[in-house]
Amino acid sequence: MHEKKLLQRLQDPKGLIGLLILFFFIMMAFLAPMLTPYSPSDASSQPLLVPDGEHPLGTDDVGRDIFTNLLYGSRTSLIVAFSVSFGVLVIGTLAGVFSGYVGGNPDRIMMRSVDIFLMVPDLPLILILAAYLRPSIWNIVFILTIMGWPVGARITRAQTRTLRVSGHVDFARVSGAKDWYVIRKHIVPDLYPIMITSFVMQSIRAILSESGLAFLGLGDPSYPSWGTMIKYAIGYPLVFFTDAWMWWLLPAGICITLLVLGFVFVGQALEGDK
Amino acid sequence: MQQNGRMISIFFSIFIISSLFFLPAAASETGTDEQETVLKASWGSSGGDWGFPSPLTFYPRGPGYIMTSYCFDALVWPNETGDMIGLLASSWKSSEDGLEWTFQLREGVTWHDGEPFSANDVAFTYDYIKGKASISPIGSGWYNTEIIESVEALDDHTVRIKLNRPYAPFMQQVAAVVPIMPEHIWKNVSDPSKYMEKDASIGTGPFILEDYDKDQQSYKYSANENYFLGKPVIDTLIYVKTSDPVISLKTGEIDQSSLTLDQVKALNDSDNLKVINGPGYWVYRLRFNIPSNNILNNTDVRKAIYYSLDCEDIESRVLHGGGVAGNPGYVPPYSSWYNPDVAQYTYDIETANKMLDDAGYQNKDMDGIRLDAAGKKLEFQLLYTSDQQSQRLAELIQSYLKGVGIGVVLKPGDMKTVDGLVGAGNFDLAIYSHGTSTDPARMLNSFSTSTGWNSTEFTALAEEQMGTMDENQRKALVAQMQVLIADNVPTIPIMYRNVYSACNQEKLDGFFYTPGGVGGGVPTEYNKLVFIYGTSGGNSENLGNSTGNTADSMGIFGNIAILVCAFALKTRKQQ
Repeated sequence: MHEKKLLQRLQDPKGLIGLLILFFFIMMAFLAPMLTPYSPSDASSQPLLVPDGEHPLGTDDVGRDIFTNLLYGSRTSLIVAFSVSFGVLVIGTLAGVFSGYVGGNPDRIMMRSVDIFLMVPDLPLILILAAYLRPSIWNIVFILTIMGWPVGARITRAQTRTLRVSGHVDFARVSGAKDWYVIRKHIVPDLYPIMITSFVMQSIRAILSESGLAFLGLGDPSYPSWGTMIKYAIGYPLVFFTDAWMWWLLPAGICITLLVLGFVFVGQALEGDK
Repeated sequence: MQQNGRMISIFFSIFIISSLFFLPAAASETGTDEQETVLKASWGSSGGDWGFPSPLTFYPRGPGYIMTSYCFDALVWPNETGDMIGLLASSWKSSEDGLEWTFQLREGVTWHDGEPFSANDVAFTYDYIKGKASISPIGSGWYNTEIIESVEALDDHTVRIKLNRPYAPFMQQVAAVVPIMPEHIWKNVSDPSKYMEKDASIGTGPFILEDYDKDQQSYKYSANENYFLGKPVIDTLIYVKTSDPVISLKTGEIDQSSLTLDQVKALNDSDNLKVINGPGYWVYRLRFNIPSNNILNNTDVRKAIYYSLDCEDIESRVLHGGGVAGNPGYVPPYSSWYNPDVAQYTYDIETANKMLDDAGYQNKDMDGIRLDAAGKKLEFQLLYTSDQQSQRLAELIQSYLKGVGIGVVLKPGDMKTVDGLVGAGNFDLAIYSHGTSTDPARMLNSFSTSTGWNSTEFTALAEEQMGTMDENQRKALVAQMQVLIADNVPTIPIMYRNVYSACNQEKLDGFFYTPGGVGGGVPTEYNKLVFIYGTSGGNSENLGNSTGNTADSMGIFGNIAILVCAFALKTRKQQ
């Protein structure tokens, strides 16, 4: 019943556009090797070519095909987005439901630690950790998940508290249902809308953070990333004195914006926001 | 009527306030000397703070020394052709064995504060800087005093310097580097490394320090009217920090800056800038952890890595032609000490593969990465600083080495992290970029510390060439050193970067790159002689004046406009 309501919500134009954009990027990520003959790290072409038939978006300063990097960049962004939001979802929901359902001292301890996490400024910590750990994509996922779960836990816990004292849950418990059964059958399903919204929000955050870190040079150098592309494009002194920004800088920026927009549309549609 | 009165009072207050805004600007423009020529320079995007410009407090890098050299003179100085001319010394001679140097000093030289300069100051300076290793420019080897036995002022204008052993590059590395400091100021200073009072920058140089701002990263010098070689052609020299030197040059915010080739390409003829280029003596090299890494300890593996890199191609991709591909003998090809007859490692994948097979890494895993006898991957971590060039270089090296089956894991870090890890020996490969210096003494003799490669034969040659006074004999020894380097591949010099500089010709023309560099080998266009012998166009003064006038007239026009509006409104109200 719950899922059906969500699907219905997605059917308004905003949701459809959002889904279409997401589908477009997912296809781009999957079909990347078929759409381009080059590999993203292949720097064998002439550097700084203008777009032509062989290189639809030209080549960058070391001779990599920009179009190829754009395609493979969607993989990085999507991997990070989905891993982070999935991680946040699992940890956040478990912690939130546990905390809200059990109550008492465990709840207090849990929520105080969440408070501490929420108090720590996000971005500076990410910057410091990214600089100290090895810049691998999984470290970035790890950091973003660690910094993201308290938000999920907070929301889930609040909702769980309300649900726990609501009529149907009380009735189930009085009828002899075990805690685990109640959580599984009555609490978690009612959390689906919240979970999906937080999934979408975390994805957006992950995409922007990954691009941001890559732009600052703290990303994983072995994964092509839109943030890295922007960093290199801006770092090339001639980019604004020639037309190069149009095929080097702009596409990566548009891709980040579009992907985030896709997630935003889906999220708004799911919230029933017209 | 009351309304009108209020209107008028409002407009008058606007008039007064706006006058306040416009007047100071106009006043400051007209207040300066009309004939003043100001040159605004910038160190480009590499930052602008190089420490307080005194011989003991500048940051021990090339630019730091240059900032100091404007205020302080050495005994001699290299000119446009790289020959030594006398600054504080007017003539000099050395004994047969090269152990005794006698300098005749210029007469009538005064310090910036008017005190006369004498031979005692020279003797004082050489004594003063001796053994003060805790002071950073001394500790990092800017002033080579360990070869000096004694310095003696024979009379007011004669100094004799005795060396404890023959030292071939004495003129270039010592006499042309050590800035002479005034005894009457420094003899009373208790902590010279922290002494940054106004007096600390008093020297004999062509410029007097007006202002140094550490936070703004700016320097302001004014010309020394009484400079013994003649008054500098510009009156004020300012160094400012700029985030984008190209845009600053185009807008006229700065008049001069050093650039990279990519930045030079962004300039065009209408910018009226003169671009010069010169040898950079700046190397990008691949450093190996020779003492601690058992695999890289093997010379054949290092040679195989050299064979697998196409340095010319890397140069064309990273510097886009603004440099020269590396030479196995390490000495850049434009140096007069360059020896072309050394082992060459031209890009050859087959040789590289064969050498690695022979070294015992013939098995490969599924990704095509070689395995050693124990089945461990032949994989190295590559450390590099995260600036654009080093990062691009790292990526290219990664893909080249992958071609011969060597895995490379990239590890970027800031300069301090990289230096720290390399210093602790906690790395496999590292990309280093730094000045090579120009004299073989500094270029090659430190090889065992800068590469971790120890060879008694090499060290012996290094010692010998330093004490060889005969130029040709010394060249032969240096050539022999390069052969040894090329045979052992202690490090791979991938490329040398050229340096470029652009300057507004109307402000100052005549910049040049000194062959052999200044200050013992800093390859820079800022040889202070250019400010004496260069030419400064006349247009700049008018330019300064006219901007003053426009600011002035803008203020007046603005006020008049406001008044006119006020009256127009008032008359309308009355109708």
